Amino acid sequence: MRVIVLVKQVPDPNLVTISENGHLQRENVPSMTDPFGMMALQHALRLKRELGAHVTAVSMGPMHAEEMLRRCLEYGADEAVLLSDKAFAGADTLATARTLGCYLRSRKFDYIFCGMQATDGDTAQLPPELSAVMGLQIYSYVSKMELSNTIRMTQIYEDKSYVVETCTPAVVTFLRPPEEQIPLPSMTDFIEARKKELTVLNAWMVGVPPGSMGLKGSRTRVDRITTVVKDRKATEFIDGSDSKNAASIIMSEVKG
Amino acid sequence: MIEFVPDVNSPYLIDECKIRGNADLVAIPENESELSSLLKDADSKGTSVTISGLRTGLCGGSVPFGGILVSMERFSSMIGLGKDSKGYFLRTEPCVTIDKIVRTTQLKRIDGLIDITPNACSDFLSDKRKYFYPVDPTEMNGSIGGNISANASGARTFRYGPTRNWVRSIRLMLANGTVIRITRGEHFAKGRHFNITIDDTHLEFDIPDYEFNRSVKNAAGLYCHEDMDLIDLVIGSEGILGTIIEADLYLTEWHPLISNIIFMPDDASALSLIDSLRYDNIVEPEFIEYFDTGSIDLIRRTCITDPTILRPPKKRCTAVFMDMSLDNDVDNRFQRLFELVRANGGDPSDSWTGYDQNDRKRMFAFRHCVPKSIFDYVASLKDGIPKINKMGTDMSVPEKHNREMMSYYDMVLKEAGLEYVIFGHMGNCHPHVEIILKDMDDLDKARSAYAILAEHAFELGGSPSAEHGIGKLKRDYIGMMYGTDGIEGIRGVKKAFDPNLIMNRGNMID
Amino acid sequence: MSGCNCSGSCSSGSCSSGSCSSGSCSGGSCSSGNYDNTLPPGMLAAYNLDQATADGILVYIETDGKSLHPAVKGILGKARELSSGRVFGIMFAGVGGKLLYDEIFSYGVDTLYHMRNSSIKEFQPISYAEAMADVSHRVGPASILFAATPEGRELAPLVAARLGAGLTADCTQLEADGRTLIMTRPALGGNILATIRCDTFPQMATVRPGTFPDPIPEECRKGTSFSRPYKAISEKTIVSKDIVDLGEDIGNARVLISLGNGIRNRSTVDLAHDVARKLGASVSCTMALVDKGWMPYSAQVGQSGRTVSPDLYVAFGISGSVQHMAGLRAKRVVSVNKDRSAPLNSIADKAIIGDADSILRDLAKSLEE
Repeated sequence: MRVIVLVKQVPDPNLVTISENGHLQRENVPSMTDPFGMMALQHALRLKRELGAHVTAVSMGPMHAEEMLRRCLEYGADEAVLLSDKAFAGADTLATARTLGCYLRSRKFDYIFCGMQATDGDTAQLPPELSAVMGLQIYSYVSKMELSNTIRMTQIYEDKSYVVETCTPAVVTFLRPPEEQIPLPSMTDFIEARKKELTVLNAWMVGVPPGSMGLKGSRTRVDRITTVVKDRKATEFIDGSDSKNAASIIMSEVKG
Repeated sequence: MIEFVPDVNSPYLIDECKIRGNADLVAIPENESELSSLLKDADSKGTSVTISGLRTGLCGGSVPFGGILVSMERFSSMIGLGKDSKGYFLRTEPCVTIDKIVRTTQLKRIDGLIDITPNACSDFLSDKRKYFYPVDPTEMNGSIGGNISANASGARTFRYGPTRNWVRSIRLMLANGTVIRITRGEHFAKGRHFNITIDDTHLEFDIPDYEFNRSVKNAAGLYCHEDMDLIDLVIGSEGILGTIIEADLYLTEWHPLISNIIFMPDDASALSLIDSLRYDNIVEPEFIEYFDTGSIDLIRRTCITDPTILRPPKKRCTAVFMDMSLDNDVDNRFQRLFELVRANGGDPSDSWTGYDQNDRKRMFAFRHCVPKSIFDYVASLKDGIPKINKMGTDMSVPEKHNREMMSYYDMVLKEAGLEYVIFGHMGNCHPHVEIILKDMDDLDKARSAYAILAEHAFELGGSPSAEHGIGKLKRDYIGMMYGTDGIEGIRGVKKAFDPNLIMNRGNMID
Repeated sequence: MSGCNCSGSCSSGSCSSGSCSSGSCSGGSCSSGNYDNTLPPGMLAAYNLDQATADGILVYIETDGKSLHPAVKGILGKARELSSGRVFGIMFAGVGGKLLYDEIFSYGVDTLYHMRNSSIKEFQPISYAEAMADVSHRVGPASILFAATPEGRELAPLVAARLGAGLTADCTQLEADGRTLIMTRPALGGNILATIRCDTFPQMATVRPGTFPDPIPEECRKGTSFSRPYKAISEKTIVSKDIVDLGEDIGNARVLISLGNGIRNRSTVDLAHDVARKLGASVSCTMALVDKGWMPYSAQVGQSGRTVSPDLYVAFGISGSVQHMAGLRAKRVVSVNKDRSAPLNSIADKAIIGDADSILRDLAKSLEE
């Protein structure tokens, strides 16, 4: 069994802030693997552990995303691929789906696991768009997998929960991490990961037509960004050490 | 200035040691001049004044017993950045959290900060290197003013030393409302005698006679030694000499780190590993923390209610948590580390390693689980047993006596029939022994055991209060360690700064 | 083949004329230079809408066959408001769907496509997407709108890729400038608003439920309906289906009692439900409590959970991460937290600095009397 996992490097969302004059403060913010992609990786590693699946981590991003992919290797991915090129920049989800699709069509796989969405302004559109450009089945909102002869997945749509018998190849997005926690890599995993293969490919190597990638391949454009002017209402700080008193304050808020 | 009579339950009357005090008035000054008039007035009337920041102290240092409680919460801005021969420094008001200082400097979010020396801010921004403030107490949401007053330490103290090493200058407001600026390197004692004039203030006094133990982590009593720098007297003085209204802190260069948690088969093998790691110049640990088998068992119990906590290995084990540099030498460091682990009976694959933001957060949450679950456990007991308190030790010993002290803890506590876990800054031979109390009986037993342990630590050349300070809770140690002469010596210094003895009465001495 | 006048679906391989005169040449080997621009068949847009004549708004009408999904109404209302042309609806339902026609037309739909396939009983994304792309091609709308429900968020991108269209998700604002749709969506935890435009028609958007108010239905409004069969394509094999009890939908609650990581005891969660019941409120939470297994995912407020807009949001032990605040659009916020510097406090009207568990417990006690 072969599983591709799509991951993304994002700045720690809790440290990215807006300054007083509305500028995005992203510099110096440490990066990490997007948590939902990490979730997808954990599900893939479960398949590796229980079914001996081969796991490839793939990302489209700038060169320093290599570090994040190296981390995926330490966690247990067997190999990693970074698609990196200036020409990929500015891609919306359609262009990204086409770029990734151009690469992934050259790979054999059973599943492509994705996080439901990324944290830096993402929209959860990529996995279905990817499934459409590649002509693959899609299983979204998977909360858990049951492994037997085949893999059954539970999908959650608001109040409906479906158990589906999956067919391959398919794109899968996950809502939650696997029940059994994937352990952190050990020190020996770290050293061994250095021997695993991390390939970096540019646009020419992937063979993406110019009209399908980056800004050129995008169909949506950000017109402008405005800072939300928060009503700087003065927060009234109240001493809550008398919990009875605090409770009555809350009661009056509810009633009022 | 906000002033009010505090309700008996006011959060202004209690700190993290959970002992409740009382005050006639709570005052929250807006600025220097308001604070100055308040102190002048109190000084003239002999009213006791207790200063508090964010009240995260563990010894009642900011808990008032009568008089006025002054909260420094309005003094919460970072002022500017400067640079001198020792490096960059941050000038700040006292009620800024350590967490905020670290984030501001690490992320270089310095807009709004002024240049204390010319172009310091622009140099800092354009400097490709990263910098940070290296003292990392477990409570990162404490105030820097409080940290300086207690000479706080953290895990990184192993490599970087305590707060003392990083304070460049302090603006201290005395009991009579005047402010003096004390900068390192400017005012020294001659022998054990100080005779100095700063601006219009003249200070003349002798430092206490006792030998302050500087060879171990020590936060017991006034720091003093012959020919000492005046600033070192103020650092760690727990507010008895004056109020810190501004401080300059040096920053140090930041480099990427990799965190490792190594699971050794048992306590003895872990302690041996730590002994060989401590000064290893290939691995060069940033800090070394220890979690005994009991702590890991405690974490396993917590995992059941919180599935987000990293699960420790199923078999019983002891954990060693250490950071080291993630640089070009990392392969050599690991090779050496693997050798040491194997030599001490461990297996390098029984470990976790992480450098990614997320992973380090999870590893730190794992580490934090131990004190947190004890805290939660005691809090849950408080309903039924209101007088119950956490009983944890804070003792350090010289390295050569560390193993002996570890055995001594086991002996004394087992004999008292108490349940306990041991974890903490083993790099500095300063673990915390947390006694898991079940009832008031246990609390009494713990108190006596504690007294025995404190004395033994002192006898071995260590300190019974390595980082938490004395405050009001541990005044007995001063007597034990320094005798009545010592207490009078401290009082003498205090009288020179605060003749009417109004500042933070009850801290260190009564 | 000379002078390839690609004015419609250029979905095959070789258009060797050099320039497609339609807006989007998404395939074929337009042999400009030596570069092989070919995208393999799967990557091409299956359809290319005529850019010059694209007009009107098509709305995906989500339904379980018996009633409309509540989120759809607001979207229909907005579509009617924005469109100077026609409003089209597309609905996948059995014969029982006919009972919904009047309601659908009353919300401003002019033409309804009722897609029928008696063998398909559950949401089949690929079958729906193929059918919808085909209808879109037929209708040629300027814009296509979906509610950003789980179904909508899966279906919209599948349709967008087939149409080679731009898609903007989770919009909180839509404006029209003639046929052009101006879409606004929040990013970075709601701290910034990004205004997005599409380059080509159709312009596609998903809208967070509850963004637009339900329109006032125009009784007796008439419209045209077309019943169309559609094919089952790449159907998922559904082994079983369960209806999950969502409890009170937090999306509709006027008052929310919300719990975060500062809650120490699992038993406090039960207390919170008790309190909520007595106050006529609902209980929501942050991701942390869902991860711990103390509360269901349906109660999660945040970027990867629900967006809520209650009149009052009482947060117990919530520090206020960027992702959590992204889902919060409350009129009034009261925060109960030990930590004075918790980010949530900065958007709170009242910040009570105290212990969340104790205060909730006292709240419960006071309600017993």
